Amino acid sequence: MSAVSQARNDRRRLLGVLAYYVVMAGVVAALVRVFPSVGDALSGRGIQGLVDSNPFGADAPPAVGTPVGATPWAGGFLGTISMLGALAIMIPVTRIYMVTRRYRGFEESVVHTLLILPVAVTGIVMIVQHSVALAFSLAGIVAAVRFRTTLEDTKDAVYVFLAIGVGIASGVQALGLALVLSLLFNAVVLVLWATRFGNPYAAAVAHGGTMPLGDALVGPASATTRQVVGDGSLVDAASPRDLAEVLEQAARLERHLSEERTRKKSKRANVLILVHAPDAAAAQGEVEPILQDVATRWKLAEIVPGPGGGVVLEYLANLAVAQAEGALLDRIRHAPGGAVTAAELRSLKGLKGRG
Amino acid sequence: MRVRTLVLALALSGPGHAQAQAQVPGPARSAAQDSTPTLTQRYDLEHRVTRFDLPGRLDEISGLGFSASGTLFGHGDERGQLFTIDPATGEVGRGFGLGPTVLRDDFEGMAVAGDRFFLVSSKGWLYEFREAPQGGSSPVRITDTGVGAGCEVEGLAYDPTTQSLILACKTVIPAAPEVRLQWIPLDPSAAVPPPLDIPLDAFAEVGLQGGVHPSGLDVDPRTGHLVLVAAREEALVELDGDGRVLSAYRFPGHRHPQAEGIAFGPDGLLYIGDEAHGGKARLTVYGPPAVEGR
Repeated sequence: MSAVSQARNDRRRLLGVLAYYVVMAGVVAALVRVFPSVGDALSGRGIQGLVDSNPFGADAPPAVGTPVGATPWAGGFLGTISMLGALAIMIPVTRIYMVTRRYRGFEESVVHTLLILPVAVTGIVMIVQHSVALAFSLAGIVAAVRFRTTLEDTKDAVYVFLAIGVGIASGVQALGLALVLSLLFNAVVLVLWATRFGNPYAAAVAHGGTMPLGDALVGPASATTRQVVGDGSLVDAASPRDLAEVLEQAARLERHLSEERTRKKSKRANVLILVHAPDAAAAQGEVEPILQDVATRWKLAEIVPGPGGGVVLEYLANLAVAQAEGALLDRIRHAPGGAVTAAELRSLKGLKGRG
Repeated sequence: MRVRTLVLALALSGPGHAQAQAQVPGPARSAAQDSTPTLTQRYDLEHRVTRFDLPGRLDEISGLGFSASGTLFGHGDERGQLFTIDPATGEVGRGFGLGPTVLRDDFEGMAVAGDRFFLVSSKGWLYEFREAPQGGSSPVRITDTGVGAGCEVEGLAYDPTTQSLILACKTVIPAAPEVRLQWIPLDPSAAVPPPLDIPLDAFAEVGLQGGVHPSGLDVDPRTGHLVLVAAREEALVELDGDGRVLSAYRFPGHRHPQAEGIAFGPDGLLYIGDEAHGGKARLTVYGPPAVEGR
């Protein structure tokens, strides 16, 4: 699937979540209008329904009005609304979870947990409410069961916390609060995801315009990752579009690198040189004589479209002397014809082979 | 006494009074035809006896009431807690709570019938409880009067004549130009009378052209008349048991920015509680007018 169609699908899914919230608000408003008692589950005031309906003894005067919460059905109705409400509120959260975790991957069990957990918590909170003894019993039971599940990602734990929060809010009949919690949570997650907040690669793009292909391939200013093409952490940090480019580029380069591995080590390409230029032929005319002069051997592996309408020439080269790297870049950048706008050099020493 | 009479006379003829009179006809123009003095005749509403600032826990005072033993209680808007208030000093005690944990709701008024205490919520739920020691709590019985389905309840009073609770509605559902009062007999076997709907036009006759939105209700034990306090209109309205408007009085100069509680004390004084409304919650006390003598 292309990056463009993927982005379109993402937009459609997010609009679906938004529409879900709007429809849910409409349905809730209609239900409250038709069944005012539904409002009790929203406001946090339905809690009183569980209080004893005849606390003054047998000789007390009869009650004025209809006892509230005297039948098990009253509590059951409220509980049903609260649990279904918790479930309904968590559905868009799981949708957002799946969209934002698509590339990193997620486990089905986590998604299911996010839906089931708030329902269970709602029920437990409704049972425990007003009873310190039951609360202590619950703590004892939880301690005895000893849940020890390790979550792969810290953010998964945050989602679980949200599920618990929604469950507690629903359990005290504050579905309105739970809805706001879910809305805000999703909004924050989406903003962080869309802006790639905290992503070092995104920061490079923000400061220097479009991220150069060389940086996208090996990562900016990273001594540990720049020697590995297609590094896992790089893939993790890149946006879907960058990721597609990187994967495509890595696949193309891999072919050339495989050939390199068949050579003797002393002849094998040990640097990747990325030359940015508006005109490929003109740049070749300037760069290749220099490579001819400096490198033991070199190869123009690819010419790919570059940022801003130019091209990027990808050279694999074997530089025998380490000091030659700086001299090479210096000469390329100051080539007299002015055909080169920028040049980058990445070491391929220690490059891992595939398979 | 003469000085006070003179002051009273000056005040009555002053600009503030003129403004109040312009908005609300005086007692002489009330609709009451019987010989019972009206509220505005029995109380000097121009001059308060005293006023106290209330502490933060009663910032949202929503109801006032006297127990059978003569203790003044006040309660807030959101928590089922009653606090004792010393009418002489305004000092507020620790109070007691409803239920094992303090209940939350939108409490709108209180009433006392013998040893039975009641709070009412805006949706017409009654919270019945008993007086408890300071710092303690009372068991609570919660019932639905059904009134909330037809209106937003804002006031509660006990009418000893009919042995009923009276619920006052601020707004009616569906919206209609009327104020609704609902009598609920304490005896559940007694028939519940239909609600009494008072058209807003009836209030216009006594100068409240914009209608009335009750925020508190009590029954004057000396006359049996109902007295509504309306926070939005900053007014008091006196009604008889048939819903006829007997008199009305609009307070001048934002003296009661948000009056939510009203109670007639066994001492014959009238107590009005105001929510903080950006300042301090207050308890204001009114007494009978000065009597002129030789």
